[in-house]
Amino acid sequence: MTASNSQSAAADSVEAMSSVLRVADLSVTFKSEDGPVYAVSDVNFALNTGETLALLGESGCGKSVTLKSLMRLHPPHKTTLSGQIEITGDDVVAMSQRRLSALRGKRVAMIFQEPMLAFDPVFTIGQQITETVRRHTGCARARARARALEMLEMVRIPSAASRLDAYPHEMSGGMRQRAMIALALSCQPDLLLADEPTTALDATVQIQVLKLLRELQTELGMSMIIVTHDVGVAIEVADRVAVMYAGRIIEEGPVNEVLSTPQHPYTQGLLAATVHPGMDRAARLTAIPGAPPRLTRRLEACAFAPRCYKAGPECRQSIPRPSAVAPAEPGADSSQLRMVSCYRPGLKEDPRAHESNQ
Amino acid sequence: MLSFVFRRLLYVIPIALAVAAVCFSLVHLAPGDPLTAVIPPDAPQEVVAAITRAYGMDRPLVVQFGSWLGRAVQGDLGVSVATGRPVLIDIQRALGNTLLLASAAAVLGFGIGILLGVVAAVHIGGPIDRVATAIAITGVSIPHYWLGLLLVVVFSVYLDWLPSMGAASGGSANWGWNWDSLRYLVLPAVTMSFIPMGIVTRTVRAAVAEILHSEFVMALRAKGMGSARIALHVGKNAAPTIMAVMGLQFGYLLGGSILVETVFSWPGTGYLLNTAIFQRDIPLLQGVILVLAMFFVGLNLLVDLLQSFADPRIRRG
Repeated sequence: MTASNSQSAAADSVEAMSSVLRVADLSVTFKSEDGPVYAVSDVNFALNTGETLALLGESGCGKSVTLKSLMRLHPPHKTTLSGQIEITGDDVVAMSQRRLSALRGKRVAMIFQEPMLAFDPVFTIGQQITETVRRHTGCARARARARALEMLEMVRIPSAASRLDAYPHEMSGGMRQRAMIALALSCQPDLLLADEPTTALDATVQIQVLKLLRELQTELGMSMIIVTHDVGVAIEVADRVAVMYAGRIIEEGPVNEVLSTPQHPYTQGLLAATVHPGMDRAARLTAIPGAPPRLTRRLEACAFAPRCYKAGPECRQSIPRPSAVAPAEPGADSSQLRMVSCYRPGLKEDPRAHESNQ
Repeated sequence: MLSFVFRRLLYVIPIALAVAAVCFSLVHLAPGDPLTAVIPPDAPQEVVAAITRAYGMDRPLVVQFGSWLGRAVQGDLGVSVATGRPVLIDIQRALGNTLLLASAAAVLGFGIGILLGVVAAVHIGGPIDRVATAIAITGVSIPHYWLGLLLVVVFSVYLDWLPSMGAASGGSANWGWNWDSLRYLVLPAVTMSFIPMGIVTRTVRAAVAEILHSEFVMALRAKGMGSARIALHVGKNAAPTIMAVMGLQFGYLLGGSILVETVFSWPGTGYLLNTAIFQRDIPLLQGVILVLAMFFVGLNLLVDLLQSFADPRIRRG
């Protein structure tokens, strides 16, 4: 188990902290009719108690796959999962199905993108929260129902008592997502996984739901991973951000630092292509040329090299390892760790500055 | 919920009226005079007129329909032209036999169909799925009168294990819940179960496979539900579709067994219908069709109500 030195160094410093989650060398490969799909490769990250990490990236970059594999939700006969996933010290990869289902919903809970699809349409909201509570606490039906009501009130659903007996189709999108949050938090998980929790909601409701999540997280002292393609969402809720591209984390660090001084050319391109808080309002949005690679072949070089404005020969020969952006100060907090996987990291020179020089 | 049930019950009235009208007029659309079966070809004109008047056939069709319907509602379906017995007595006896046969075939066909369908859906795309699908297609494709004859040849003629015809030794009136009677049921029930088995297998497979791939099943696993609890959720979601198909299939079993009942000489409604057609026994024919059609209407009502219990979204609108 000797991974690269920089990785194990990172892992060591993380272990010293009260870490809720530790992911090392996680790779997820799907079997498909056209051969294997290398959806996630060599992903490393860790999460401290109370911390929020945003997995940021475009569609198909592996962020959702990474999130779901933390609970081993992918169908086992179609999925090969390797590496280490430790949740509060327990190895999830080696865990038996029995222990796994005791972990799911209790210590780790998930919020899905589309609450209309994630709730069973033919059971009431109350029944669906109650069954979760009963599964993990074994308490009586009346107790579980009281708990469900308490949860609906906690996520501020108006006239919560009558909403207990409502079916999912009888609620609005925002209310459904609040109910989903109530369900996820009903057993007080240590870690909340949120898969694009606001993407299906309209803009005004998005902000309310994000604020609610943030508040509840502080109140309950949970850790959270939020998957999003929206830089604004990451800024709103996350402490740290990990940018993913083609199944790998290419840059990671405190959200403000990564988004204000992006080191990886892809992060720079992503920020230049999206509207988000703190952007240069005068600059035009620019697209990254080309398209992400297909993941049906194992990549031998930097996945971004074909689209990169400063790629060199070394970028096309091997995959860059993650390395610290600035040498970590002794005793530095792991939450301040800043990593980038690039042979030629560094701030993008302003093209306009070039023009004025010439 | 109650208002839904009430509304659904109200809908039955126009449907039943329309069905009765169709039953009545179908017989009158058939070529030839309905009375040719009872009147000798060389009967004098005044005798023909007297018989026509006696059956009420000289009055306008609308009036005939009105009085027929009025009597039918009170349980009087007329007197058989061929036997002179009240039609209702023959229908009751035949319906009892058919219900027995149809229920046995339904239990067998639906049971195996649900089992195969669920197994296929869980293993979709794999070898088990292919075997189950092949069985389903075979079940639907085999002509059941041919299958019936084949079973008779094998199990009655060669092996001499089971009787080839009839409903009980000494007539259907001697039916009892013992092996002596039940063995008469085996071959026709097995024969009739093949088509519903195939259709239910395919329906269950499609419905369950779709639900298993839906996001809420992943969400159920994500909150730690075990397979029994997930099966409950999947079952309740698949139930409306499956019940709709099973209701229709049971309706077909009740009425559509003419061929099987003829092959096995099973004294049921199909057999009775066959007899009525060949004897041009109009009151009997109308009666059998009406009763079977009403069973169909009733089954549909039952399925609709059961569906609305399983799926709250059906109760709207």
